[in-house]
Amino acid sequence: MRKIFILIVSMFILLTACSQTASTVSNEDKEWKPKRPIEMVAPARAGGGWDTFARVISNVIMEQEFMEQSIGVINKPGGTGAVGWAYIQKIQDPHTIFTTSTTMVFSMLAGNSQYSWDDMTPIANLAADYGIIAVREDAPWDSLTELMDDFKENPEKFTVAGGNTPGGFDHVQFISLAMEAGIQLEDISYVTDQSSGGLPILLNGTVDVLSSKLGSGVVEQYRAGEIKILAVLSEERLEADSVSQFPTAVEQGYDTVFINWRGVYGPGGMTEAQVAYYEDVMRQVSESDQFAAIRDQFGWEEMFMGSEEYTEFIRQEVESNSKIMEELGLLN
Amino acid sequence: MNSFNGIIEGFQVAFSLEGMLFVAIGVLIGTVIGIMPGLGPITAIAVMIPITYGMDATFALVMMAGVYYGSIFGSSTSSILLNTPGAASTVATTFDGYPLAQRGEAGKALAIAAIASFVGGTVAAIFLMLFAPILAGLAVSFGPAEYFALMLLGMTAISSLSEGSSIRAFISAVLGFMAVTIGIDSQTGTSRFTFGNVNFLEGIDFLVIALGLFALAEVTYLIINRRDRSFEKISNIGSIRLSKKDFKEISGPMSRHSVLGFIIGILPGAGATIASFMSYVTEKRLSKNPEEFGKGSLKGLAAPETSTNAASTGSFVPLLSLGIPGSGTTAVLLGALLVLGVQPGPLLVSEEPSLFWGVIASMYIGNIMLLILNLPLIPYIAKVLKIPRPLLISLVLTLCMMGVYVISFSTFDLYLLLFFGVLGYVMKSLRFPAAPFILAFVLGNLLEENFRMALTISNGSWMVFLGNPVVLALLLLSLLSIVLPNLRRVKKKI
Repeated sequence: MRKIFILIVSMFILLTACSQTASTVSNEDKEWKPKRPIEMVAPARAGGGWDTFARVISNVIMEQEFMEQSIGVINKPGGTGAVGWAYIQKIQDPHTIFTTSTTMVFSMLAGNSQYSWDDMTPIANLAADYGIIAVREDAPWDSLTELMDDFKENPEKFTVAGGNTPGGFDHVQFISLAMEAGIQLEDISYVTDQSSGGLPILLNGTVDVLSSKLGSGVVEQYRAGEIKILAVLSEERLEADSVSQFPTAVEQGYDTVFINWRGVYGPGGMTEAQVAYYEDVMRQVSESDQFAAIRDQFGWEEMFMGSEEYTEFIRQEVESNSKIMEELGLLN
Repeated sequence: MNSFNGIIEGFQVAFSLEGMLFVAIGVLIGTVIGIMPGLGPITAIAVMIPITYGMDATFALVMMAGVYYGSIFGSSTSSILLNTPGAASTVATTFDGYPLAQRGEAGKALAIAAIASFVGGTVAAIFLMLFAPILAGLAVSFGPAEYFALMLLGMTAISSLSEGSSIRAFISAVLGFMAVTIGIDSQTGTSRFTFGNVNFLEGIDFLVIALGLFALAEVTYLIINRRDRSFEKISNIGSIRLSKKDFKEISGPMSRHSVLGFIIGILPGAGATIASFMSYVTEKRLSKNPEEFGKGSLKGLAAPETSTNAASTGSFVPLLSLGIPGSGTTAVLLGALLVLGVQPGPLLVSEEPSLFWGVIASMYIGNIMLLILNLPLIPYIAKVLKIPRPLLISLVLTLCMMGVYVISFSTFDLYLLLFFGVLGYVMKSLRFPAAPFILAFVLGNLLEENFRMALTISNGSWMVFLGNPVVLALLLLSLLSIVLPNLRRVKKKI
């Protein structure tokens, strides 16, 4: 037994050696500039939304030389963001910022993290992806109103699929539309297709309605004549040619807007000068031609907000979503 | 005839000087990363993403695809030599590959793995080219009920992975099931068995469990029994030449599982890992000598190796034609595609024929290059076994930890790895097989998720499993595979 004990102890020593050591906190100046390379944390795995976003932004910053220091992406996956946020808050270093999106608010409302949106500093929002409601091309409904009316009459006929678990974007946006249409919550049967986002089971007829986002490959399916997009949950019609023909839910009489916004946050306790520095960099990113091309590529819309506007926007997001989460019993 | 022109264009791309160069770079890097114990396709692709920025999309994709199947090709090496799978999809390779290496036939095992990989990859590439237009339809043909039935069929193999005691096998499988339920439940959004720890919210990574139960458990075993003389012959590599008889033995599994692997690979909910397990258990069931499996059967090695490579090629169907990844690895690949400006979808074939067909055509060259690259190197790679044991063990330990850390960047996962290493050693000492644990962990999530999805969609009616011919056939097969072996046993007794 002693051998095993020694083995285990030596492994522990090895593991402890791998752990993070605390970094120093830099002092504040009126004019702040980073003194070291910037760490852009994606609180998710390589290949996910937050990761891709972190990589494209860092890439634009490096190529256009918007910063004097270099910037590199690191991944801190786990706990739908909670592990990454805990890391950010632990080191509290203004050289470490992170990418985020609507998912952060849902994850925090669900109580996944000990931190909330108020604990960290909004720097800027850069892009938006809008929610959509889609059905198969051969489906009998041609508008959101037709779909919702039929749903209300025969709720047992319908199943909705999405890529997020209940309490996530795809789920909550459909619930909020349904609540407006007067459909009972317990009448909605929703399934989560985590691996494929619900698209295959919509296409093969297993489910009737897909609740998803524009940037999730639905536009390609629409162009191929496989699906109909009954509503985009944006305030006004989108401008880009490829998506301008989709009607909004608002114009069909539903006051539901669902934006998957994507932005950049910093740790709590950043000084005004630090926020201003990053905000300026992000504005340059947003205004660059390179980022405009990236937005088109991913199906994102332009949506720049500076720190102040972003803070207020997040406050409204939290308010409207926590009501729905409470109805669903998922608020923590 | 449009697709014919496309294919020609594709070959032009793949056989151009740059095309060949990027395939070569891709498969070389893929193999090198794949060969490292604990490192596999996810790491290989993640490493390559920054390099592809600003590259021509077609060549970048050709290269990334090369990295992907090259690393799968290469990762069987560490499974065979060191019991250390670098990817989820090569866990099944350890079942018979490692016993073969321990018997002093590492050279032969590596050669079979290389040939089987080549056959699987090439046959799948041919299928891809011949049937690409209709395959997209096949990819979406499976609904939750079908997936559930398919996973159930896989689960019935638990008793066949028992190595003697089926009670022990079932206990092991239940543990695997328990481990996979940890995390946020996909259908309700509630967290299960996380004990308030955020690190458990996204569940436990497969690689942590595979490396813990297989590699760490084996290393611990070797350390504790280091004075055991019987380990000395392992440093024999044996001949890499296969006899006619060997070829005859593996030709059956290779032809069967390049088809099976390819089909499972096309299904976006399944992927290469499930394909490799399915093929292993199917081959064992078909075999006249199932007792050889797990002890160094050539068939048991060829089947999952062929299947994994065929499936990884097949997974390009949902990836390119639907934009849906079938596994964690292809999810990273999809991210890379989007960054390159490629918009996967049903129209990709007609709008970017040279890209679509170029990638497929490059797979032929890639697979040939891999074979040429790997076969002559086997004697040198297998020399790893000649490294003095203390050194080798430390190397494996370090690389396992690296493999886990580069995927999650979390020290918590390292503790988990250690935990599963200890669990694996305890199981090994008490003669509980680890394979059923792994099988239950791989299939459990999809089994449960699809079962609940199917019932939600049918409003709770069980007819969803009985009214559909595909589901019914799969369920009957599952039933048969449980009943038949027992019937045979009863017959023997009479």
